[in-house]
Amino acid sequence: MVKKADIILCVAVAAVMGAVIILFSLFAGNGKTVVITANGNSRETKLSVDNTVNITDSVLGSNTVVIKGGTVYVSEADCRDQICVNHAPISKEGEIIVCLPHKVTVEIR
Amino acid sequence: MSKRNNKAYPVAFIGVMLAAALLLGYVESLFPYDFAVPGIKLGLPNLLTLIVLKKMGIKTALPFGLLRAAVSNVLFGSVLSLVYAMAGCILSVICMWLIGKVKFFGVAGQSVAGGVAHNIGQIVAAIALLGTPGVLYYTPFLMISGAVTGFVIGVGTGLILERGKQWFEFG
Repeated sequence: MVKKADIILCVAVAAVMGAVIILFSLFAGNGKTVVITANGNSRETKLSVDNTVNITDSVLGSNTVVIKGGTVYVSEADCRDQICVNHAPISKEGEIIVCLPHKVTVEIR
Repeated sequence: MSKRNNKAYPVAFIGVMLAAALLLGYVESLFPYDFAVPGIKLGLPNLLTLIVLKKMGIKTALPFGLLRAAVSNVLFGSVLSLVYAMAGCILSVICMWLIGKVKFFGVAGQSVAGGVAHNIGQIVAAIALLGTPGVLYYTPFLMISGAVTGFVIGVGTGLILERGKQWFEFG
């Protein structure tokens, strides 16, 4: 039922992708700008300046993004899955928080 | 009922498989997936899609998967989750079918390919819907999750096909 090739395939995918994650976290520098895209419109703010942004562009709902001490997190969202609110604060280049139901992304560049 | 080579059996079979897949979709919607990465899930309904694929081929499995995704997401998800599920489903069924053609892979490998492909489909849909390639960041996390859950689901499918042999012999 389980053939050798099955295990090799599973382990190989996990190992290669694990290596990608480790390399990424080793080499990603701290970002400078926060790019918030909501419903196709994007805006940029500085990561170094503490700020609170209310995103209300989306007809689907609203999110509150907090920039504090060089990290960014979503403090509030009126969606039901709350994945973006539970997401750990991000600070490194390339990291992203996504709110799928509201089509909102918060990216660090 | 000794011979199940009549025309009604496959129809009834698909109906039962669809009902079971919807039930598993519901069970899965009850799990609290508290991962930071959206899109990670066990993929229980894929047990049934894989059985349909193995027993009836891709011509039945692809519409089956799409129908399951459509009904399941309308009932337990949202319109957006439906788009992700559809994209994932198409890619996953095609990949499982292709891997099924390669002799040295078993059911588990087929399911691993399906899981990984499903998550790649979701990423593609997310890039299109969100309008930013930034979500590519999640790709390695989702591919690991797809491989691991795919393996588990594949082993489960293998067990069901083996233990319930008498139910799956027809045609």
